[in-house]
Amino acid sequence: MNTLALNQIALWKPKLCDQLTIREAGAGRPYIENQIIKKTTDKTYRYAKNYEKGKHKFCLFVITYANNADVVERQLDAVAKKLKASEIAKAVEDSTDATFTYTKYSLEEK
Amino acid sequence: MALCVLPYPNMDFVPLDVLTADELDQIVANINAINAVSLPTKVSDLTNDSGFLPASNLNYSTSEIDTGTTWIDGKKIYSKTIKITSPTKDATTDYAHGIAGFSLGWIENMFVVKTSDNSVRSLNYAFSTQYAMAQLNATNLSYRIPATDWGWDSATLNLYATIKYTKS
Repeated sequence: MNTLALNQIALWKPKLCDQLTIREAGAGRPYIENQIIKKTTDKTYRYAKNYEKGKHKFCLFVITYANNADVVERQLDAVAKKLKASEIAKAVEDSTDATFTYTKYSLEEK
Repeated sequence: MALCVLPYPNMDFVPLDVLTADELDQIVANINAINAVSLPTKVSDLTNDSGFLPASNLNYSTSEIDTGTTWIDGKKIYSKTIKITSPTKDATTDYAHGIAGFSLGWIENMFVVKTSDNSVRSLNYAFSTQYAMAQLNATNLSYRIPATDWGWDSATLNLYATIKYTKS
């Protein structure tokens, strides 16, 4: 099972609903930063959205302190365009209900 | 094959989501619904609803069969095998196939069988005034079976023709 990395955009198999969904979680969630396990100090928000690229359907999601859905969604959309089909295919194939692949992209702090 | 209807179709989650106990129960209910769908285990289980080609479409029949395929214009292709007992020899003969709404058709396979020993000959013979012929139109399957020179003029024959066609 993967470890939470804040602001790191993750690639997963397509979720049930295609549109952007947001889930809020309370403070105190363990996450990893610079190989150190820390705990979140505030609410975090999980943004997730499905995309299609060629014949590949996939989900991008990110967990962050940022609570501006429009800004986050635009960044997810931009990352979806940058991803290669081979990378998407491999990540989707390797996905399980509990595991996913982090991309090299992270949310830009604005 | 039964369709799978999820009890919670809008249950949306990704890994690392903090889920409530109720949400976990909903995910389990969805998984159980998927597992409850009975999949076909043999060819005879397949039906038109499954999206697979039904086994019956692969068989030959003197009754009309929907082959499950379509022509270039999108129309369904049907199949039917015609059996003519003791067909006329040495004369072009029309056999009314009785297909209502016949649009376009072709002869997939046509042959005669000598009933005494089940020898088979296709209708592709031409010599002197003797020739074999087959034609299909909206009303008839027309055929001509040679008599003399072909050597089967005294034999008792059955003629089989499998035709495929579309309807208007």
